[in-house]
Amino acid sequence: MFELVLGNSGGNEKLVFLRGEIDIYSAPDFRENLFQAIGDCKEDIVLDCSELSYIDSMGLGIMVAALKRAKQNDSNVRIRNPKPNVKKLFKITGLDKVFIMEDSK
Amino acid sequence: MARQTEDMLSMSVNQKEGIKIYSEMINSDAYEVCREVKIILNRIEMISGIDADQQFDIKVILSELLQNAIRHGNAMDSNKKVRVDVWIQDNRELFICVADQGPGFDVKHAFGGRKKSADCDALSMDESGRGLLIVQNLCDDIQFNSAGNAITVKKRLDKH
Repeated sequence: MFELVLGNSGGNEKLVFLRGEIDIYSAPDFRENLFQAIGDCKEDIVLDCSELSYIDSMGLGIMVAALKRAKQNDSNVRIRNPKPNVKKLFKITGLDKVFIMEDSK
Repeated sequence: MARQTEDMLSMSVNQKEGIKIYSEMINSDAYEVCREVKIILNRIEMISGIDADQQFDIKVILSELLQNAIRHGNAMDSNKKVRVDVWIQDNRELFICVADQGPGFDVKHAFGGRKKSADCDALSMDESGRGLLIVQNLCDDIQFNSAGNAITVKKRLDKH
């Protein structure tokens, strides 16, 4: 079960909530919805991962693709409040140094 | 199927001291992969009582191995299948063997050439290619057959 919900955008960011699991089955939906949300957005995309319980290399790859799109628009992708297990995968792959990681808790 | 693959599979199935958890041929299909990963996780949980963190790690490992097998090994060919064997030894070591029906790949290249993404500029980064790096970090041991189309990983189930 996976859900992508657009939050209220304000200031210089566009908020996207990720809920549930991004696995091989839900990854195509994630890609489509995320890229639709990004569009030609000039604001930073904030992926709120506080309710994201599962992701693997396929989902991380889609986030990388989103980051590349954002950079082309002179914006960025920020990863907000990932659970420890999800954060661990960013660290293992070195993506914690590529994305802006935000932890407000 | 290559001789080495057969040897590895027969080895995995004949683990005398282990508890066999799962032994099936899976179609090269995303839905089926997700469904079978859940079945395997439930069986491991019933037998070993793993905690939520171990469950997460094992789900990632299984998913990465199966994704590699159906996408890169079998190239999503619906006529090709993936053989999966899972067993537990001494109630504390989990083994997962995944064999695809593809031509195999160069194991040294897969591990030798991979750099962490921190070394790269975001715009030049690949979207794929992180699966084995993740598996390598979450497992305690990885073995390939010489053809490069079967992988066996070991993960300790000790409580941290």
